[in-house]
Amino acid sequence: MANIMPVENGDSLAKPCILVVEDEVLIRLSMADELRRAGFTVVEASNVDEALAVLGADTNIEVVLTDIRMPGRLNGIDLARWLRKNMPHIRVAIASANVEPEMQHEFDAIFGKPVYMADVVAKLRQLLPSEEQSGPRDS
Amino acid sequence: MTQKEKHQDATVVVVDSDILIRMPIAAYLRECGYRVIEAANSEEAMIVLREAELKIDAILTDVESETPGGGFTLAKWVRENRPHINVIMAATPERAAKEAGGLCSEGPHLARPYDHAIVEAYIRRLLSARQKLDPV
Repeated sequence: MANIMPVENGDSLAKPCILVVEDEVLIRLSMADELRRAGFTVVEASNVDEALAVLGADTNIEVVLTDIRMPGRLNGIDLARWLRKNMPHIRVAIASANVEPEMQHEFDAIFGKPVYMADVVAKLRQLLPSEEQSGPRDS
Repeated sequence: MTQKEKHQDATVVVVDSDILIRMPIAAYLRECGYRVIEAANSEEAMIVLREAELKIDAILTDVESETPGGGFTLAKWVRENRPHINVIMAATPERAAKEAGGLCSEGPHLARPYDHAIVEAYIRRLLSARQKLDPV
């Protein structure tokens, strides 16, 4: 299986919705499983076109967690910038082996691969609008 | 434990290249208690099936997958390599008739887009039948 560090089950009653965009099926599966175990609703997209189809439908996506390099006409950075412009209420997190320091200023969260899911879960919880009401955003 | 509860521990791979069809049927089956693994095409499904750690009970596949041969090729591969896994094929009626004649002696089982309750009942019946044949 993909190199993903697991996280303990959360006790959240609400189920905020995360869109995971990742072209490697075993990594996507591992991340989605861990996020579901942590109490999130997870939608899985295998590329940016699928992500855009989901975002264009009537879904309650609050955070998008995307890889950068994926097959197709658009990559994860394109998706993140599209979201910034067209759906600015959605938080954007990048998970990639190709992260660069300047991305920290452009997106809400950056995770290098292999990802540590405990870190990802903690950060995604911070990014959720409901969490923001009780504290400032830290990025 | 009832028969239904046993089935709901089962793992189903949902293969569909249309995310707006794959996403809701996967969510529905999860709500019913199944573990669901999503694959966007047959190639992704085969990567999942080759993972020894993953115990798969059934595959629900669209015959119109993007890869050559689509769901029929996947079904043939499963029959040859993982014969214990139930394969359920789905298609629009027109496409199903055309492809079934040329590629496979057995046509699709379910109509697509899905009636979610019918899909769940079909999977439950298949797993129940298998359990009777091979009780664990």
